[in-house]
Amino acid sequence: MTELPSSGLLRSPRRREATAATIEATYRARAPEFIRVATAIAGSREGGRDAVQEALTRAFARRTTFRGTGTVEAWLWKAVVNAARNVRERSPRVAEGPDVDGAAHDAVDERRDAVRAAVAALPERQRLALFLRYYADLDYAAIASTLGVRRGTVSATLNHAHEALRASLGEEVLA
Amino acid sequence: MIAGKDPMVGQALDLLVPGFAVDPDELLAAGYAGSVRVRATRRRRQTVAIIAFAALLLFAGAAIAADKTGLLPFLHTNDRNSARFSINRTRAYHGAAPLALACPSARTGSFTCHVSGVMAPGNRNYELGESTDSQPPLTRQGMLDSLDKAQAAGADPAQIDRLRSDLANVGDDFIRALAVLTEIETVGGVGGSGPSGTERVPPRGVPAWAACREVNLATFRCGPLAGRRGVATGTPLYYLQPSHDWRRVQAPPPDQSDFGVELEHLLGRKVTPDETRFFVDLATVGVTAGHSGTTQGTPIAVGDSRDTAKLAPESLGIRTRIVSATAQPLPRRLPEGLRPGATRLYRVVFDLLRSDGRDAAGRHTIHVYVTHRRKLGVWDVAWVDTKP
Repeated sequence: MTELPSSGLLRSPRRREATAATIEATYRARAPEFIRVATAIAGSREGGRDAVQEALTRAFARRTTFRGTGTVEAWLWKAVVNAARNVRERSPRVAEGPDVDGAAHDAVDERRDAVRAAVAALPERQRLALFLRYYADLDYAAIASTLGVRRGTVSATLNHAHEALRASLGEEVLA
Repeated sequence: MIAGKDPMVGQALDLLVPGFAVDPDELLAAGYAGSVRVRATRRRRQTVAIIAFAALLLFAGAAIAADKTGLLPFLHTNDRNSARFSINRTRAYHGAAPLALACPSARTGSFTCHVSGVMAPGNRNYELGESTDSQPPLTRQGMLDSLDKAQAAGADPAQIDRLRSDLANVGDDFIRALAVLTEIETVGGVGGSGPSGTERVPPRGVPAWAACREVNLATFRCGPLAGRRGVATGTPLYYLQPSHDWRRVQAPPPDQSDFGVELEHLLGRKVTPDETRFFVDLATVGVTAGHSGTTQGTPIAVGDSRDTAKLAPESLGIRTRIVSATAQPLPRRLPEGLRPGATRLYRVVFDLLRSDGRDAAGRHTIHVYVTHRRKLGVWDVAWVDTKP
Protein backbone atom coordinates (compact mmCIF):
# COMPACT_ATOMS: atom_id res chain seq x y z
CA MET A 1 0.00 0.00 0.00
CA THR A 2 1.35 3.42 -0.90
CA GLU A 3 2.18 5.79 1.93
CA LEU A 4 1.80 9.53 1.58
CA PRO A 5 5.36 10.69 0.94
CA SER A 6 5.24 13.79 3.09
CA SER A 7 3.50 12.23 6.06
CA GLY A 8 6.66 12.12 8.16
CA LEU A 9 7.19 15.84 7.81
CA LEU A 10 3.60 16.80 8.40
CA ARG A 11 2.82 14.54 11.34
CA SER A 12 5.46 16.06 13.57
CA PRO A 13 3.61 16.99 16.78
CA ARG A 14 5.03 20.49 16.76
CA ARG A 15 3.74 21.25 13.29
CA ARG A 16 0.12 20.11 13.35
CA GLU A 17 -1.13 23.48 12.16
CA ALA A 18 -1.27 24.21 8.45
CA THR A 19 1.26 26.98 8.16
CA ALA A 20 2.25 28.58 4.88
CA ALA A 21 5.42 26.51 5.03
CA THR A 22 3.67 23.15 5.45
CA ILE A 23 1.21 23.92 2.67
CA GLU A 24 4.07 24.95 0.41
CA ALA A 25 6.12 21.86 1.26
CA THR A 26 3.15 19.56 0.67
CA TYR A 27 2.36 21.18 -2.63
CA ARG A 28 5.96 21.11 -3.84
CA ALA A 29 6.29 17.43 -2.98
CA ARG A 30 3.18 16.50 -4.96
CA ALA A 31 2.71 19.29 -7.51
CA PRO A 32 2.69 17.08 -10.64
CA GLU A 33 0.13 14.75 -9.07
CA PHE A 34 -2.10 17.59 -7.86
CA ILE A 35 -2.11 19.11 -11.34
CA ARG A 36 -2.61 15.79 -13.12
CA VAL A 37 -5.61 14.81 -10.99
CA ALA A 38 -7.08 18.31 -11.26
CA THR A 39 -6.61 18.18 -15.03
CA ALA A 40 -8.42 14.86 -15.23
CA ILE A 41 -11.34 16.12 -13.14
CA ALA A 42 -11.58 19.58 -14.68
CA GLY A 43 -11.28 18.21 -18.17
CA SER A 44 -8.51 20.40 -19.52
CA ARG A 45 -4.96 21.28 -18.69
CA GLU A 46 -5.88 24.94 -18.24
CA GLY A 47 -8.79 24.01 -16.02
CA GLY A 48 -6.52 21.78 -13.94
CA ARG A 49 -4.05 24.58 -13.39
CA ASP A 50 -6.85 26.98 -12.47
CA ALA A 51 -8.22 24.45 -10.00
CA VAL A 52 -4.87 23.88 -8.28
CA GLN A 53 -4.27 27.62 -8.04
CA GLU A 54 -7.75 28.08 -6.58
CA ALA A 55 -7.14 25.28 -4.09
CA LEU A 56 -3.84 26.83 -3.01
CA THR A 57 -5.50 30.20 -2.61
CA ARG A 58 -8.15 28.67 -0.36
CA ALA A 59 -5.63 26.64 1.58
CA PHE A 60 -3.40 29.63 2.29
CA ALA A 61 -6.35 31.85 3.16
CA ARG A 62 -8.05 29.30 5.39
CA ARG A 63 -5.07 27.57 6.91
CA THR A 64 -6.04 28.70 10.39
CA THR A 65 -9.21 26.62 10.05
CA PHE A 66 -7.19 23.43 9.57
CA ARG A 67 -8.15 21.27 12.56
CA GLY A 68 -5.09 19.08 12.60
CA THR A 69 -7.10 15.87 12.71
CA GLY A 70 -5.58 14.56 9.47
CA THR A 71 -2.57 15.48 7.40
CA VAL A 72 -2.14 18.73 5.57
CA GLU A 73 -1.76 16.67 2.41
CA ALA A 74 -5.19 15.06 2.83
CA TRP A 75 -6.65 18.50 3.49
CA LEU A 76 -5.01 19.84 0.34
CA TRP A 77 -6.25 16.92 -1.74
CA LYS A 78 -9.82 17.70 -0.70
CA ALA A 79 -9.32 21.33 -1.70
CA VAL A 80 -7.89 20.35 -5.09
CA VAL A 81 -10.66 17.86 -5.86
CA ASN A 82 -13.38 20.33 -4.84
CA ALA A 83 -11.82 23.16 -6.85
CA ALA A 84 -11.45 20.93 -9.91
CA ARG A 85 -15.09 19.84 -9.64
CA ASN A 86 -16.09 23.50 -9.47
CA VAL A 87 -14.03 24.28 -12.56
CA ARG A 88 -15.66 21.37 -14.33
CA GLU A 89 -19.13 22.62 -13.46
CA ARG A 90 -18.28 26.08 -14.77
CA SER A 91 -16.99 24.69 -18.07
CA PRO A 92 -19.54 23.25 -20.51
CA ARG A 93 -16.90 21.58 -22.69
CA VAL A 94 -15.87 19.04 -20.11
CA ALA A 95 -19.26 17.37 -19.99
CA GLU A 96 -17.80 15.10 -22.64
CA GLY A 97 -14.85 14.04 -20.49
CA PRO A 98 -11.23 15.15 -20.21
CA ASP A 99 -9.61 16.59 -23.32
CA VAL A 100 -6.21 17.51 -22.03
CA ASP A 101 -4.51 18.29 -25.30
CA GLY A 102 -7.09 20.80 -26.36
CA ALA A 103 -6.59 19.59 -29.91
CA ALA A 104 -9.28 19.56 -32.55
CA HIS A 105 -11.64 16.62 -32.26
CA ASP A 106 -10.50 15.03 -35.52
CA ALA A 107 -6.91 14.95 -34.25
CA VAL A 108 -7.79 12.80 -31.27
CA ASP A 109 -7.11 9.16 -31.97
CA GLU A 110 -9.88 6.62 -31.64
CA ARG A 111 -8.42 4.82 -28.70
CA ARG A 112 -8.20 7.91 -26.55
CA ASP A 113 -11.69 8.85 -27.64
CA ALA A 114 -12.97 5.49 -26.51
CA VAL A 115 -11.24 5.76 -23.14
CA ARG A 116 -12.55 9.28 -22.67
CA ALA A 117 -16.10 8.20 -23.35
CA ALA A 118 -15.82 5.19 -21.06
CA VAL A 119 -14.39 7.25 -18.19
CA ALA A 120 -16.99 9.96 -18.66
CA ALA A 121 -19.72 7.32 -18.42
CA LEU A 122 -18.57 6.22 -14.96
CA PRO A 123 -20.32 7.53 -11.84
CA GLU A 124 -18.44 10.49 -10.41
CA ARG A 125 -17.19 8.68 -7.31
CA GLN A 126 -15.69 5.92 -9.44
CA ARG A 127 -14.05 8.47 -11.70
CA LEU A 128 -12.54 10.41 -8.79
CA ALA A 129 -11.31 7.24 -7.09
CA LEU A 130 -9.63 6.13 -10.33
CA PHE A 131 -7.91 9.49 -10.83
CA LEU A 132 -6.64 9.62 -7.24
CA ARG A 133 -5.44 6.01 -7.35
CA TYR A 134 -3.73 6.06 -10.74
CA TYR A 135 -2.63 9.66 -11.22
CA ALA A 136 -1.70 10.43 -7.60
CA ASP A 137 -0.92 6.91 -6.38
CA LEU A 138 -2.89 7.57 -3.19
CA ASP A 139 -3.63 4.60 -0.96
CA TYR A 140 -7.17 3.59 0.02
CA ALA A 141 -7.07 5.50 3.30
CA ALA A 142 -6.02 8.74 1.60
CA ILE A 143 -8.63 8.33 -1.14
CA ALA A 144 -11.28 7.64 1.50
CA SER A 145 -10.28 10.76 3.41
CA THR A 146 -10.32 12.89 0.26
CA LEU A 147 -13.70 11.67 -0.94
CA GLY A 148 -15.26 11.50 2.51
CA VAL A 149 -16.12 7.79 2.31
CA ARG A 150 -15.13 4.67 4.23
CA ARG A 151 -11.98 2.82 3.28
CA GLY A 152 -13.92 -0.29 2.30
CA THR A 153 -16.04 1.81 -0.03
CA VAL A 154 -12.92 2.86 -1.93
CA SER A 155 -11.98 -0.76 -2.60
CA ALA A 156 -15.46 -1.58 -3.87
CA THR A 157 -15.63 1.61 -5.92
CA LEU A 158 -12.34 0.87 -7.66
CA ASN A 159 -13.39 -2.71 -8.38
CA HIS A 160 -16.64 -1.51 -9.96
CA ALA A 161 -14.72 1.07 -11.99
CA HIS A 162 -12.28 -1.54 -13.27
CA GLU A 163 -15.10 -3.86 -14.26
CA ALA A 164 -17.01 -1.08 -15.96
CA LEU A 165 -13.99 0.07 -17.95
CA ARG A 166 -13.09 -3.45 -19.02
CA ALA A 167 -16.66 -4.08 -20.09
CA SER A 168 -17.07 -0.87 -22.05
CA LEU A 169 -13.63 -0.74 -23.63
CA GLY A 170 -12.97 -4.41 -24.32
CA GLU A 171 -9.58 -6.10 -24.32
CA GLU A 172 -8.53 -4.68 -27.71
CA VAL A 173 -8.71 -1.08 -26.48
CA LEU A 174 -7.16 -1.84 -23.10
CA ALA A 175 -4.38 -3.97 -24.54
CA MET B 1 -2.18 -6.73 -10.00
CA ILE B 2 -0.85 -4.06 -7.63
CA ALA B 3 -3.34 -3.49 -4.79
CA GLY B 4 -6.20 -1.51 -6.25
CA LYS B 5 -4.55 -1.10 -9.64
CA ASP B 6 -5.19 -2.77 -12.96
CA PRO B 7 -2.19 -2.28 -15.30
CA MET B 8 -4.40 -2.16 -18.38
CA VAL B 9 -6.67 0.46 -16.87
CA GLY B 10 -3.55 2.34 -15.86
CA GLN B 11 -2.32 2.39 -19.46
CA ALA B 12 -5.68 3.56 -20.69
CA LEU B 13 -5.76 6.37 -18.15
CA ASP B 14 -2.22 7.38 -19.13
CA LEU B 15 -3.59 7.98 -22.61
CA LEU B 16 -6.20 10.30 -21.21
CA VAL B 17 -3.98 12.51 -19.06
CA PRO B 18 -0.30 11.84 -19.71
CA GLY B 19 2.16 12.91 -17.06
CA PHE B 20 3.68 16.32 -17.78
CA ALA B 21 6.30 18.62 -16.34
CA VAL B 22 5.04 21.44 -14.13
CA ASP B 23 6.57 24.55 -12.62
CA PRO B 24 5.31 24.49 -9.02
CA ASP B 25 6.54 28.03 -8.30
CA GLU B 26 4.18 29.62 -10.77
CA LEU B 27 0.96 28.32 -9.24
CA LEU B 28 2.32 28.66 -5.72
CA ALA B 29 2.98 32.36 -6.11
CA ALA B 30 -0.38 32.97 -7.76
CA GLY B 31 -2.17 30.92 -5.11
CA TYR B 32 -0.53 32.84 -2.30
CA ALA B 33 -1.21 36.23 -3.89
CA GLY B 34 -4.86 35.23 -4.26
CA SER B 35 -5.07 34.20 -0.63
CA VAL B 36 -4.18 37.69 0.55
CA ARG B 37 -7.15 39.05 -1.35
CA VAL B 38 -9.43 36.28 -0.08
CA ARG B 39 -8.46 36.94 3.52
CA ALA B 40 -9.14 40.64 3.18
CA THR B 41 -12.56 40.04 1.68
CA ARG B 42 -13.52 37.43 4.26
CA ARG B 43 -12.60 39.49 7.27
CA ARG B 44 -14.62 42.46 6.07
CA ARG B 45 -17.58 40.19 5.64
CA GLN B 46 -17.33 39.33 9.32
CA THR B 47 -18.14 42.95 10.10
CA VAL B 48 -21.26 42.86 7.94
CA ALA B 49 -22.31 39.62 9.61
CA ILE B 50 -22.04 41.25 13.02
CA ILE B 51 -24.25 44.11 11.88
CA ALA B 52 -26.85 41.68 10.56
CA PHE B 53 -26.75 39.64 13.76
CA ALA B 54 -27.17 42.72 15.88
CA ALA B 55 -30.09 43.80 13.71
CA LEU B 56 -31.83 40.53 14.43
CA LEU B 57 -31.31 40.99 18.12
CA LEU B 58 -32.79 44.45 18.00
CA PHE B 59 -35.65 43.22 15.92
CA ALA B 60 -36.36 40.64 18.57
CA GLY B 61 -36.37 43.34 21.20
CA ALA B 62 -33.28 42.12 23.03
CA ALA B 63 -31.96 45.15 24.83
CA ILE B 64 -29.83 45.75 27.88
CA ALA B 65 -29.83 48.91 29.97
CA ALA B 66 -27.41 51.46 28.59
CA ASP B 67 -24.79 53.08 30.78
CA LYS B 68 -23.19 55.48 28.27
CA THR B 69 -19.67 54.38 29.08
CA GLY B 70 -18.38 55.20 25.63
CA LEU B 71 -16.68 52.99 23.11
CA LEU B 72 -13.56 52.01 24.99
CA PRO B 73 -14.96 48.99 26.87
CA PHE B 74 -16.63 47.85 23.69
CA LEU B 75 -13.28 47.60 21.92
CA HIS B 76 -12.07 44.94 24.32
CA THR B 77 -12.99 41.30 23.76
CA ASN B 78 -12.24 38.08 25.58
CA ASP B 79 -11.15 36.41 22.38
CA ARG B 80 -7.35 36.38 22.23
CA ASN B 81 -7.36 35.47 18.54
CA SER B 82 -9.36 38.46 17.43
CA ALA B 83 -9.00 42.22 17.67
CA ARG B 84 -11.65 44.92 17.74
CA PHE B 85 -10.53 48.44 17.00
CA SER B 86 -11.83 51.78 15.80
CA ILE B 87 -10.81 53.59 12.63
CA ASN B 88 -10.24 57.31 12.25
CA ARG B 89 -11.26 58.01 8.68
CA THR B 90 -9.75 61.49 8.73
CA ARG B 91 -6.25 60.04 9.09
CA ALA B 92 -4.49 58.06 6.38
CA TYR B 93 -1.46 55.80 6.56
CA HIS B 94 1.30 56.46 4.04
CA GLY B 95 4.06 53.96 3.66
CA ALA B 96 4.99 50.45 2.69
CA ALA B 97 3.00 47.37 3.72
CA PRO B 98 5.27 44.31 3.50
CA LEU B 99 3.79 40.85 3.21
CA ALA B 100 5.54 39.58 6.32
CA LEU B 101 7.31 40.94 9.40
CA ALA B 102 9.58 39.29 11.95
CA CYS B 103 8.99 40.74 15.42
CA PRO B 104 11.16 38.95 18.01
CA SER B 105 10.10 41.31 20.82
CA ALA B 106 6.36 41.31 20.11
CA ARG B 107 4.52 42.09 23.34
CA THR B 108 1.78 44.20 24.84
CA GLY B 109 3.33 47.59 24.17
CA SER B 110 4.98 48.96 21.08
CA PHE B 111 7.62 46.79 19.40
CA THR B 112 9.98 46.84 16.42
CA CYS B 113 9.68 44.50 13.43
CA HIS B 114 11.77 43.80 10.37
CA VAL B 115 10.66 42.93 6.88
CA SER B 116 10.95 39.18 6.34
CA GLY B 117 9.62 36.27 4.32
CA VAL B 118 6.55 34.34 5.39
CA MET B 119 8.69 31.44 6.56
CA ALA B 120 11.28 33.44 8.49
CA PRO B 121 12.81 31.60 11.48
CA GLY B 122 11.65 32.48 14.99
CA ASN B 123 8.38 32.42 16.89
CA ARG B 124 7.03 35.89 16.30
CA ASN B 125 6.32 36.18 12.62
CA TYR B 126 3.41 38.21 11.37
CA GLU B 127 1.71 38.12 7.99
CA LEU B 128 -0.20 40.92 6.31
CA GLY B 129 -3.91 40.27 6.75
CA GLU B 130 -5.43 43.40 5.30
CA SER B 131 -5.32 47.17 5.42
CA THR B 132 -8.03 49.27 7.02
CA ASP B 133 -10.70 50.57 4.65
CA SER B 134 -10.59 54.08 3.30
CA GLN B 135 -14.31 54.41 2.65
CA PRO B 136 -15.89 57.78 3.50
CA PRO B 137 -17.75 58.34 6.77
CA LEU B 138 -21.38 57.25 6.87
CA THR B 139 -23.71 60.23 6.29
CA ARG B 140 -27.29 60.65 5.16
CA GLN B 141 -26.19 62.37 1.95
CA GLY B 142 -23.56 59.72 1.29
CA MET B 143 -26.17 56.98 1.59
CA LEU B 144 -28.56 58.85 -0.74
CA ASP B 145 -25.73 59.17 -3.27
CA SER B 146 -25.01 55.44 -2.95
CA LEU B 147 -28.66 54.65 -3.58
CA ASP B 148 -28.66 56.85 -6.71
CA LYS B 149 -25.57 55.05 -7.99
CA ALA B 150 -27.05 51.64 -7.21
CA GLN B 151 -30.22 52.54 -9.11
CA ALA B 152 -28.20 53.83 -12.08
CA ALA B 153 -26.29 50.56 -12.05
CA GLY B 154 -29.51 48.60 -12.42
CA ALA B 155 -30.47 47.75 -8.81
CA ASP B 156 -34.08 46.79 -8.12
CA PRO B 157 -36.00 50.14 -8.08
CA ALA B 158 -38.53 48.85 -5.53
CA GLN B 159 -35.75 47.95 -3.13
CA ILE B 160 -34.07 51.32 -3.63
CA ASP B 161 -37.33 53.15 -3.02
CA ARG B 162 -37.88 51.21 0.18
CA LEU B 163 -34.41 52.15 1.42
CA ARG B 164 -34.98 55.83 0.57
CA SER B 165 -38.22 55.71 2.51
CA ASP B 166 -36.52 53.94 5.44
CA LEU B 167 -33.78 56.55 5.44
CA ALA B 168 -36.26 59.43 5.48
CA ASN B 169 -37.91 57.95 8.57
CA VAL B 170 -34.80 57.82 10.80
CA GLY B 171 -33.31 60.75 12.66
CA ASP B 172 -29.84 62.26 12.36
CA ASP B 173 -28.88 60.97 15.81
CA PHE B 174 -29.40 57.43 14.61
CA ILE B 175 -27.25 58.04 11.50
CA ARG B 176 -24.52 59.50 13.70
CA ALA B 177 -24.62 56.50 16.03
CA LEU B 178 -24.38 54.15 13.06
CA ALA B 179 -21.48 56.19 11.67
CA VAL B 180 -19.60 55.74 14.93
CA LEU B 181 -20.22 52.01 14.90
CA THR B 182 -19.12 51.60 11.29
CA GLU B 183 -15.76 52.90 12.42
CA ILE B 184 -15.37 49.78 14.52
CA GLU B 185 -13.98 46.68 12.89
CA THR B 186 -13.25 43.20 14.14
CA VAL B 187 -10.69 40.88 12.68
CA GLY B 188 -10.17 37.37 13.90
CA GLY B 189 -9.70 33.71 13.19
CA VAL B 190 -5.98 33.47 13.83
CA GLY B 191 -5.96 30.39 16.05
CA GLY B 192 -8.73 28.47 14.34
CA SER B 193 -11.12 26.14 16.12
CA GLY B 194 -10.28 22.82 17.67
CA PRO B 195 -11.98 19.89 19.35
CA SER B 196 -14.68 20.53 21.97
CA GLY B 197 -14.89 24.26 21.45
CA THR B 198 -11.21 24.92 22.01
CA GLU B 199 -8.82 27.14 20.12
CA ARG B 200 -5.09 27.78 20.13
CA VAL B 201 -3.94 31.13 21.43
CA PRO B 202 -0.59 32.93 21.47
CA PRO B 203 1.38 33.23 24.72
CA ARG B 204 -0.05 35.83 27.09
CA GLY B 205 1.10 39.32 26.15
CA VAL B 206 1.86 38.51 22.54
CA PRO B 207 -0.77 40.12 20.31
CA ALA B 208 -2.54 37.96 17.72
CA TRP B 209 -3.04 41.06 15.58
CA ALA B 210 -0.78 44.07 15.22
CA ALA B 211 -1.10 47.43 13.50
CA CYS B 212 2.17 48.65 12.03
CA ARG B 213 3.69 51.76 10.55
CA GLU B 214 6.87 52.20 8.61
CA VAL B 215 9.96 53.62 10.29
CA ASN B 216 12.13 53.00 7.26
CA LEU B 217 11.88 50.58 4.37
CA ALA B 218 13.31 47.74 6.48
CA THR B 219 11.93 48.54 9.94
CA PHE B 220 8.38 48.87 11.22
CA ARG B 221 6.91 49.98 14.53
CA CYS B 222 4.00 47.83 15.59
CA GLY B 223 1.56 47.55 18.46
CA PRO B 224 -1.39 45.38 19.49
CA LEU B 225 -4.46 46.02 17.36
CA ALA B 226 -6.99 44.87 19.96
CA GLY B 227 -8.59 47.83 21.68
CA ARG B 228 -6.73 50.38 19.58
CA ARG B 229 -8.62 53.61 18.85
CA GLY B 230 -8.27 55.87 15.83
CA VAL B 231 -6.34 53.56 13.51
CA ALA B 232 -5.58 55.49 10.33
CA THR B 233 -7.18 54.29 7.11
CA GLY B 234 -4.83 52.21 4.99
CA THR B 235 -2.90 50.96 8.04
CA PRO B 236 -1.50 47.48 7.36
CA LEU B 237 -2.80 44.91 9.86
CA TYR B 238 -0.73 41.82 10.61
CA TYR B 239 -1.68 38.52 12.21
CA LEU B 240 0.62 36.23 14.14
CA GLN B 241 1.78 32.93 12.68
CA PRO B 242 1.17 29.98 15.03
CA SER B 243 4.28 28.58 16.73
CA HIS B 244 5.14 25.81 19.16
CA ASP B 245 4.52 27.93 22.25
CA TRP B 246 0.84 28.54 21.52
CA ARG B 247 -1.57 26.94 24.00
CA ARG B 248 -4.94 25.33 23.52
CA VAL B 249 -7.69 26.95 25.61
CA GLN B 250 -11.46 26.92 25.76
CA ALA B 251 -12.80 29.25 23.08
CA PRO B 252 -14.73 32.21 24.52
CA PRO B 253 -18.45 32.44 23.72
CA PRO B 254 -19.32 34.76 20.83
CA ASP B 255 -20.09 38.30 21.99
CA GLN B 256 -21.67 39.64 18.83
CA SER B 257 -24.71 41.02 20.66
CA ASP B 258 -22.48 43.80 22.01
CA PHE B 259 -23.02 45.66 18.76
CA GLY B 260 -26.73 46.10 19.37
CA VAL B 261 -26.12 46.99 22.99
CA GLU B 262 -23.56 49.58 22.01
CA LEU B 263 -25.89 51.17 19.47
CA GLU B 264 -28.36 51.79 22.27
CA HIS B 265 -25.53 53.06 24.47
CA LEU B 266 -24.68 55.63 21.85
CA LEU B 267 -28.29 56.62 21.23
CA GLY B 268 -29.15 56.74 24.91
CA ARG B 269 -32.52 55.17 24.15
CA LYS B 270 -34.16 52.15 22.58
CA VAL B 271 -34.28 52.03 18.81
CA THR B 272 -37.60 52.75 17.15
CA PRO B 273 -39.40 50.34 14.78
CA ASP B 274 -38.48 52.62 11.83
CA GLU B 275 -34.82 52.50 12.84
CA THR B 276 -34.96 48.73 13.23
CA ARG B 277 -36.41 48.35 9.73
CA PHE B 278 -33.78 50.68 8.29
CA PHE B 279 -31.04 48.84 10.16
CA VAL B 280 -32.16 45.47 8.84
CA ASP B 281 -32.41 46.79 5.27
CA LEU B 282 -29.02 48.43 5.56
CA ALA B 283 -27.42 45.23 6.78
CA THR B 284 -29.18 43.14 4.16
CA VAL B 285 -28.50 45.31 1.16
CA GLY B 286 -25.09 46.49 2.29
CA VAL B 287 -25.33 50.08 1.08
CA THR B 288 -22.33 50.94 3.20
CA ALA B 289 -20.24 47.96 2.10
CA GLY B 290 -17.01 49.23 0.62
CA HIS B 291 -15.04 47.54 -2.08
CA SER B 292 -12.48 45.00 -1.01
CA GLY B 293 -8.94 46.22 -1.20
CA THR B 294 -6.37 44.16 -2.97
CA THR B 295 -2.84 43.53 -1.86
CA GLN B 296 -0.18 42.51 -4.27
CA GLY B 297 1.31 39.19 -3.33
CA THR B 298 4.76 37.98 -4.18
CA PRO B 299 6.37 34.59 -4.53
CA ILE B 300 7.07 33.05 -1.14
CA ALA B 301 10.43 31.58 -1.86
CA VAL B 302 12.53 30.56 -4.83
CA GLY B 303 15.41 28.25 -5.51
CA ASP B 304 18.24 30.77 -5.81
CA SER B 305 19.49 32.91 -2.93
CA ARG B 306 20.17 36.01 -5.04
CA ASP B 307 16.76 35.84 -6.73
CA THR B 308 15.18 35.43 -3.31
CA ALA B 309 16.93 38.57 -2.05
CA LYS B 310 15.52 40.46 -5.01
CA LEU B 311 12.00 39.59 -3.82
CA ALA B 312 12.39 41.67 -0.65
CA PRO B 313 11.67 45.10 -2.22
CA GLU B 314 8.79 43.61 -4.17
CA SER B 315 7.23 42.30 -0.96
CA LEU B 316 7.06 45.83 0.48
CA GLY B 317 3.77 46.37 -1.32
CA ILE B 318 5.03 49.35 -3.30
CA ARG B 319 6.14 49.55 -6.92
CA THR B 320 9.86 48.96 -7.27
CA ARG B 321 12.44 48.11 -9.90
CA ILE B 322 15.50 46.12 -8.89
CA VAL B 323 18.86 47.62 -9.83
CA SER B 324 21.27 45.12 -8.30
CA ALA B 325 21.70 42.44 -5.65
CA THR B 326 25.31 42.08 -4.49
CA ALA B 327 26.53 39.39 -2.09
CA GLN B 328 28.06 40.75 1.13
CA PRO B 329 30.19 39.10 3.83
CA LEU B 330 28.14 37.99 6.82
CA PRO B 331 28.58 40.07 9.98
CA ARG B 332 29.80 38.34 13.12
CA ARG B 333 26.41 38.65 14.77
CA LEU B 334 23.40 37.46 12.79
CA PRO B 335 19.72 38.32 13.40
CA GLU B 336 17.92 35.91 15.73
CA GLY B 337 17.37 32.40 14.44
CA LEU B 338 19.78 32.57 11.49
CA ARG B 339 22.62 30.06 11.11
CA PRO B 340 25.81 31.13 9.32
CA GLY B 341 25.96 28.04 7.09
CA ALA B 342 22.46 28.50 5.75
CA THR B 343 22.41 32.30 5.48
CA ARG B 344 23.46 34.73 2.75
CA LEU B 345 23.50 38.51 2.88
CA TYR B 346 22.81 40.70 -0.16
CA ARG B 347 22.95 44.43 -0.64
CA VAL B 348 19.89 45.13 -2.77
CA VAL B 349 19.60 48.42 -4.63
CA PHE B 350 16.21 49.29 -6.07
CA ASP B 351 14.25 52.21 -7.45
CA LEU B 352 10.99 53.20 -5.86
CA LEU B 353 8.94 54.10 -8.91
CA ARG B 354 6.56 56.48 -7.16
CA SER B 355 6.48 58.19 -3.80
CA ASP B 356 3.82 56.77 -1.49
CA GLY B 357 3.78 59.86 0.71
CA ARG B 358 6.27 58.35 3.12
CA ASP B 359 9.13 57.10 0.95
CA ALA B 360 10.61 59.29 -1.76
CA ALA B 361 10.66 58.03 -5.31
CA GLY B 362 14.16 57.14 -6.44
CA ARG B 363 17.01 54.90 -5.41
CA HIS B 364 17.05 52.99 -2.11
CA THR B 365 19.34 50.37 -0.59
CA ILE B 366 18.46 47.60 1.84
CA HIS B 367 20.39 44.61 3.19
CA VAL B 368 18.59 41.32 2.85
CA TYR B 369 19.38 38.15 4.80
CA VAL B 370 18.12 35.04 3.05
CA THR B 371 18.10 31.62 4.65
CA HIS B 372 17.98 28.16 3.15
CA ARG B 373 14.99 26.04 4.15
CA ARG B 374 16.61 22.65 4.01
CA LYS B 375 13.43 20.57 4.24
CA LEU B 376 11.76 22.56 1.49
CA GLY B 377 14.88 22.99 -0.65
CA VAL B 378 14.22 26.71 -1.13
CA TRP B 379 15.65 30.06 -0.07
CA ASP B 380 13.47 32.52 1.83
CA VAL B 381 13.81 36.13 2.95
CA ALA B 382 14.56 36.05 6.70
CA TRP B 383 15.41 39.61 7.67
CA VAL B 384 15.70 43.00 6.01
CA ASP B 385 17.70 45.90 7.39
CA THR B 386 18.98 49.26 6.23
CA LYS B 387 22.50 48.38 7.32
CA PRO B 388 24.43 45.07 7.27
